[in-house]
Amino acid sequence: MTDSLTPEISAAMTRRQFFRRSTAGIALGIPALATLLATDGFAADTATNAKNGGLVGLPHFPPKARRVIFLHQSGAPSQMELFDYKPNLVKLQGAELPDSVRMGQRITGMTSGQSSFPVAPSIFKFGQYGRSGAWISELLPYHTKIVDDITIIKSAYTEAINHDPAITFVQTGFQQPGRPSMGAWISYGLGSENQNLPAFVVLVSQANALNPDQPLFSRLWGSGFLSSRYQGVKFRSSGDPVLYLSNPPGVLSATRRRMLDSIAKLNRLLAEKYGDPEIDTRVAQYEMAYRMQTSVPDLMDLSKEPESTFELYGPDSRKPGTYAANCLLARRLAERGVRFIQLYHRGWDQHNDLPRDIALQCKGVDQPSAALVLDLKQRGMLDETLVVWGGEFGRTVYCQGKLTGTNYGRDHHPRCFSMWMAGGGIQRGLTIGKTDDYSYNILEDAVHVHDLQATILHCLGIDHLRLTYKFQGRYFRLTDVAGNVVKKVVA
Amino acid sequence: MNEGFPDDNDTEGGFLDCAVEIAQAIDSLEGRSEILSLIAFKYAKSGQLEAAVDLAETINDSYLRDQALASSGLLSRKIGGPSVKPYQPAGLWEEMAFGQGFSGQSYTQSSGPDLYRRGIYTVWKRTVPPPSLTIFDAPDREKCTARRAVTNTPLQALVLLNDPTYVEAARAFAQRVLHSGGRTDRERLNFAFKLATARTPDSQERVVLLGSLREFRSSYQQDQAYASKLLSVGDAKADSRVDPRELAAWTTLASMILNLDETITAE
Repeated sequence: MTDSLTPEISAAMTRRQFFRRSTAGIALGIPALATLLATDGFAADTATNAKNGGLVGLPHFPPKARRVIFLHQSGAPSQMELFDYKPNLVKLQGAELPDSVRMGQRITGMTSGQSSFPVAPSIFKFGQYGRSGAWISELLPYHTKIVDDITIIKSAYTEAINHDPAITFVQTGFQQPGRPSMGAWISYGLGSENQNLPAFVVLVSQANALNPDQPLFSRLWGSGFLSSRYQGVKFRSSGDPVLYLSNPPGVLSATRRRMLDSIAKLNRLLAEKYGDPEIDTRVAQYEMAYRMQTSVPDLMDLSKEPESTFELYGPDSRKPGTYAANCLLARRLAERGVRFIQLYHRGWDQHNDLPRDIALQCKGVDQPSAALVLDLKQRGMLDETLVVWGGEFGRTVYCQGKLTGTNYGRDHHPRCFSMWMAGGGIQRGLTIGKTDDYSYNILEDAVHVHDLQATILHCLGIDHLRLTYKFQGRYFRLTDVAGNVVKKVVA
Repeated sequence: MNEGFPDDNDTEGGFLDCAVEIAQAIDSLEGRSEILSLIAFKYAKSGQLEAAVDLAETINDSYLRDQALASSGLLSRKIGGPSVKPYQPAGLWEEMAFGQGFSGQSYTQSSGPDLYRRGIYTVWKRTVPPPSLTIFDAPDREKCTARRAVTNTPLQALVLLNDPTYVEAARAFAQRVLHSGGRTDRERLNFAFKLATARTPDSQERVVLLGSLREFRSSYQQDQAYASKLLSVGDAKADSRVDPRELAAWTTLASMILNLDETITAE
């Protein structure tokens, strides 16, 4: 390798130099110039709100909720063990699932080889709670305290039957990968309320159950065809909470400050020369990076939380990376104005040993989920925060594997599942939806995934038909070409 | 390159031919030729003009890393072969993995020259792509991308300032400057600045840069332990013949230069 620099290097004319010379003499078409100068080549036609970086004209109408906490239960919890009480199934234990119920429904490769589809009733007891008298499983004792604050939807359904397409569908409105996730759409539309933290934050926790977790994919919080500035930022419980957040060893914060000041000075000299607004943005983003080095550790530091907080969320909330700790972090993120807080809790895919594993999962999830609602309520934040709890599909009434009096498994079931929503824009103490005796088909108030998405956007003051983005020659929406706001659940 | 298919056995010739075709195709598009010629010029300085060709398809995301590695002299010029696993924060694959009976569930970092291959050789796990590339707008490869978005975010600043890849490159860059850049601070600064931006700094810029260097120098003079910590980042060993305090000061200056808008903006 030789270290002599060739004179040709300096002959390379940069775009900036070109514009500098162009504006001095050469006539240049203004539209072309505007397109080329836009930060995002794609977004050149959309005006953004200078205050929060969202779109001008949004929200479309006064919002009820300012932010969303989505508690995704990855792997798909069984509706029959938690919310969809089916006492009559006990009498049918071991009986074949009637064809009149299944109606030719496709089933996954995991049970399609079974010669029999015996009904497996839940072995868990249910009770009625709250003024609304909602049915809640004994697996969810803490949920009995929030039944009057939430709306339970027993009639959610999806089109996908396997995890990847189903989670992708819930998060992006389309089964195939490549669309922006809900958090990205909402950050794009509404911008950020906090200049020191990302608008879209993701927290992942591992299973309490013993069966292996279903994998997750970082594209679930990707921005698809939207600018990558809208992609979710995963906060982690080990190492740097945000990747690359810490200064390298041996770089004191005074040294870093000096570096940033000098970089800013040199960038500003360049900006004066070329007048490129992107350079000013760069300076601002380096400053935000510096502020994040303080704001993120401050967010993650639970040492100032009173004892009562940990009592509320349960002992796991002291252990970084647990679902309980993430629920507490979700509240702290909400307090700081983060727009979309996406949790993923793994471990609900109970094809076998369901009674054992669902009990373990509920032990990890019940108390913190309820605590989050109670905590937001006591802080006066529940009115402006939308909380959503649920998986990507339901589970089958028929047993996967060997059915005994105490043990069974359940396969994937897209035709009905249970979710709940609470907070800004949502009714309180309501249960909607009715499924048949087998918790197989929906009889009343079916809520499609796109309806759910339309409803979430509605709570935020967004008309789901009008939050669009043009890509590959057509306008795209989170709700694709469907979706209706679920009028019954909105307050 | 391992594209994730079991029978993937690309040969050197095949890859290069393909890269030439892509380069020619992109070259015919308006606006791209300028970027390409810039890459060509940057590589021309080390007599590696042909290396520019296979960079054509990875202009945005991995170009910055390639440039930092090239400026520092760490870049491996090898062409072809299996994908490699450069520095990546621990646990990223594991925390999303299925865990049992599948391949690619844990990340084992490469060693030696494989840490410094061009970005196109970085292994691409579709469910957990390399974060330092996705932060710089690498498409998710789930759909056709006719034109890449270009963003300007705080996370990008954190990568360029703190990712061990760039910290180590800054140190190697500083070593190169101290060895080959002349004897005075001014000569060395000119050399370093030109390596990164293809021009010499003007007088105002020089004042800022030399002022920073003096401050870094005095702070590392006071505490050699900090200097040693900074110099220990990365697998490549720091040159023990250079005073660590002086090398740490220049490493910090090099990191600054590698973070300048002019260095990281290819246009």
